[in-house]
Amino acid sequence: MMSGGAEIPPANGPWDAAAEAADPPPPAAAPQASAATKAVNCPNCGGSVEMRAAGYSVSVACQYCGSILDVATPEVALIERYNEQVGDLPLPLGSRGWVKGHEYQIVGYVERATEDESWDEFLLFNPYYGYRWLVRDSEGWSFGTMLTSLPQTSGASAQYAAMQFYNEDGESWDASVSRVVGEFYWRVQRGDVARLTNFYSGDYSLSCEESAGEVNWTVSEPIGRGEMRGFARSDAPGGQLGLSQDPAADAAMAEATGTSAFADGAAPAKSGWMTGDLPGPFARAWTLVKIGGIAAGLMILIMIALAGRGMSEQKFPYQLQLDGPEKTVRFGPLRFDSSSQRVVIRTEAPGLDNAWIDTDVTLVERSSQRTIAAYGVVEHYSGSDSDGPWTEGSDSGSVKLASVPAGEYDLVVDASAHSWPAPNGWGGQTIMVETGISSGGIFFSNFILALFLLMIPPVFLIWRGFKGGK
Amino acid sequence: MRLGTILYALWATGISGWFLYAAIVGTSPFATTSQTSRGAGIYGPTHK
Repeated sequence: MMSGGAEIPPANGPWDAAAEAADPPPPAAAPQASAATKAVNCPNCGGSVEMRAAGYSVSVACQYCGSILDVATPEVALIERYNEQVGDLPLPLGSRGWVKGHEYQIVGYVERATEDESWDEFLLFNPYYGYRWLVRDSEGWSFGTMLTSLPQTSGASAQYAAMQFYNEDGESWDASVSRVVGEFYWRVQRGDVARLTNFYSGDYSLSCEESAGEVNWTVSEPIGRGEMRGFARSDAPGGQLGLSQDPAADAAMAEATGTSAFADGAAPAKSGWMTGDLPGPFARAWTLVKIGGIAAGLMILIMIALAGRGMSEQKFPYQLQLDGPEKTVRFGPLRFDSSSQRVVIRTEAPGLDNAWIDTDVTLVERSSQRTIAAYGVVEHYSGSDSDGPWTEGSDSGSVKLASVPAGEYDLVVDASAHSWPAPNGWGGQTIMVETGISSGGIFFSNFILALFLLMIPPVFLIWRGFKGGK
Repeated sequence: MRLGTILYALWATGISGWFLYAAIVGTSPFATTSQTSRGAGIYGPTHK
């Protein structure tokens, strides 16, 4: 993109924010009052030339004869005289439209060419967001933002805003201005030549332009379907240019982005993450995060709604002799009413230390004698060594059974307690044990698994964004 | 709306549906369905 490297008016876009770390200047600081519309007369043809960014523009190309005018001072001076008809532009100067959620007006047009190809560059202006570029080449439309800080370059690569760009062939070209119409914040005229070097990252590109000892960087991002509306002239179908011209969609875009920034005293349109200012993969990841957040919220509501369902815990105390014989105890009846449910069997032995309790628990359905068996262990150890005292394990443990069918059950527990280290012979201390059984509730592991699955796509997009993909 | 967004919305709906089903029937891929004793296991602290 062509630019003069002089003062660049407000440009509070995402790329500028990236350069200014986490504290970009507030959009309201943009001096929109000085960006006024006024007209000057062309000294060559006498035509009235409308200036749409007066106060910022220093040169204007007359739309009637193409002459370049110096408007930096009140006395409009002729920089270069042309006496040819300026043909119709692909998009008319002064037309307004929306790109990536913000409204802009076309204030300038430059046609540039190398030996092999030519392309169109439209200079856009918004009093709050400053200047941007709308570029049309053989591959379609792209949206350019002038950088206010230098990317980090190393050989054939450049890094900006956490994205890595590459110019693998190391190529650069001379591009000259073949046609210019409108107003610009630097002096531009036909025949101006700049040396272009492009770095690519997927559909994104970083352009370095060198001319007259100045270096300017611009980052370009692709414009997706529906991200650009308006602009097209009334007598040329916008569809031919790849533009949407659905009036209802334009109205919806205007409503979504707030009141027009060009209206007197209007508030700036929304900016930041919510309007897609993030680079592509991150913006898409943010959209997915919002959808995933809704799904996670729904699952939390499900957990809350089903939390009180099922049978509350029933407790059964018994005694075990440490290092004694295995003991079998039977508890029941236990009624599970739901057709299928989660059942938790908890064993607790308060004060257990340097010992473990084996528990073989079996649910026996009374009518069919069908069994569901599980195994649990409760173990707790403590001691002291050169590092100081230590403990390990817990004096309670639980077994969670899934999909237990409805019915009337007995709980059979085969339990034995053992000391550590192994004793010499049988007999010893009596241990109080309590087994509790409850049904209902939700496996929290399901929630963790669901969150993990929900995060895979957005995390992948974020990873791809940092890797420089589109 | 992008195709990817629609596909992700379907993905999220499927996960939420599975979560609701699992909550109602009380199942989990990590839960015990039926298990017998670990037999002659190794007991004792694993400290150090």
